[in-house]
Amino acid sequence: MTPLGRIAYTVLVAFIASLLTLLAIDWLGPAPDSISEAPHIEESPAIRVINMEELDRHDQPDDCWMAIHGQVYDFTDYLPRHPTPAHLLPPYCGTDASVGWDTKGIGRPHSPRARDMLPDYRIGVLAADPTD
Amino acid sequence: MRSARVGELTLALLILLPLAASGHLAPPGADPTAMLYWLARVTGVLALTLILLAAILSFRIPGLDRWFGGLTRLWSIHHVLGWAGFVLVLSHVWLVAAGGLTTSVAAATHRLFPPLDHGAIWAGWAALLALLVFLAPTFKFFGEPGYARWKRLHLISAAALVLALVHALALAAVAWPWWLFGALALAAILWRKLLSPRMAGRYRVEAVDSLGPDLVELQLAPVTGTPMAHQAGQFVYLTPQDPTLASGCGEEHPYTLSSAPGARHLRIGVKALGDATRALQRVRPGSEVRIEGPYGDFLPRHPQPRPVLWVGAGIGITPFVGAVRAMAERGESPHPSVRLVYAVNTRGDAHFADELEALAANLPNLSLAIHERNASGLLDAAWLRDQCPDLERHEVWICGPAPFDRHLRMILRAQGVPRRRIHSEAFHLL
Repeated sequence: MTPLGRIAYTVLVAFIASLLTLLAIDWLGPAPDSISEAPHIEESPAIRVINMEELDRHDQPDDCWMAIHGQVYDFTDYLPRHPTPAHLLPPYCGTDASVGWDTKGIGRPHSPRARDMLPDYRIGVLAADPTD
Repeated sequence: MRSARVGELTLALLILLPLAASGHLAPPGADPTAMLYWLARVTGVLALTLILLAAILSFRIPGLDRWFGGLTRLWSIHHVLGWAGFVLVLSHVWLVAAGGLTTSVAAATHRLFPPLDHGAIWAGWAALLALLVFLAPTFKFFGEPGYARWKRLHLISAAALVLALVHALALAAVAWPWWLFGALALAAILWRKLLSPRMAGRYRVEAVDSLGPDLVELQLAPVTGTPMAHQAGQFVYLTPQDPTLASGCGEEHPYTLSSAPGARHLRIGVKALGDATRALQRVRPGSEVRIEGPYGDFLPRHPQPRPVLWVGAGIGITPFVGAVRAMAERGESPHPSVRLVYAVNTRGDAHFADELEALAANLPNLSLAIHERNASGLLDAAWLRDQCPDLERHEVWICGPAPFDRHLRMILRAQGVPRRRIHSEAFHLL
């Protein structure tokens, strides 16, 4: 490589690296919409009470609700984007997945970033268990 | 030398012209976002200016290269302009993103990658990609490219320029500098690739004199008229038209003229250094070649007040051969004196030595010394001092491979020869 070529090559590598970093932050970071819309959903009058029976009906990967600590989420759209292998998540559809949320099956809780994404998918609250 | 500065000064002013015309010479103030936007524009404008000027400088019109100190120097300027343009393009993209980052990451990405209907931005990206394709072999990112392949890839520069102009014309506040520079750049490329090869001089190979196992001297006579006027030490681009050649038919390469100015034939020493030059050793006498030139401003056209030292390494002896032949033909002994050093590996490689010795015998102030590396080791200060005891008084001209050139310059500088009195023409891809 020519001496000027070495400098150009170094600048090019740094350029590509910083560009990829920017793209990674943009893609992996919280979607800007979720930040602005989260409070809106919180206050939305559309929040409804969902019982276990109704939750149980949405137990397919293409119609997947889950309950986590009393809140019900519709994860149908999110399922394909979840980082774990594809077969791990569908069994939780239609169930109370609080334990799975807390442990990820390996004794570790989900990340704060994952927690920040939850409001995006919330559709209601879980009805209190009648046996309580 | 004075005319060389005229070319460079003009170039410096032209570099600033689009920036000044767009009103981007002064920064906008202290606000970081405004500052980043300004820097993004400045780098973008400068990048395109430099790349267009590099293209304009590829015109290669005989004679005009002297404004820049010869074609070799002009190619160096062309190379540096292209390099600086490339680095500035990358900085430009980066700064465009940085301007968006003061708002949000999403804004930065959006500025770089807007929806597809923002054609101007995507034209910019396409230009950058094209730039990368033709500059990677120039900077040898992935090893040494073949000469012919490198030249073909370099033609992608025309596409890169058009795309970059689309990008700039859609986004620039002031369009006329881009129309002006763009038209000149495309005219230069059209001239180089289409017109000038058709207008090249037609010559016939009269004789192929074998001087050694891998060195021939071609004697060329014009098909009509007289040979081109040239100075000693100038070079031409030669395109052989012999279809029986194993390689390089229709491919232009630069060669130094070894004939004396005004001689009946043009003479060109060709050493087998690559496929095309190897094939040319067997070019058929009687076949035609095209010649463009002459170029270069290596040897001075007027007598020098100081004693002169010429150093030719290997095939780098050819410009001096031309100069010595010219003196012999005119019967003019150089004044005050010329010491010619012919640096070779062994005496057997010094193919021009016999002729030079015979000519020097009749020219009182010209003396020849042959340095054989295999016998005497690398050329060093002590050996040079033996040849020229008053070395620091000399004006020096060097022609040889780049490492030899660097080595000798280092010795001369250490021996007290000021930089301005050392002139050289190193071979590299032209």
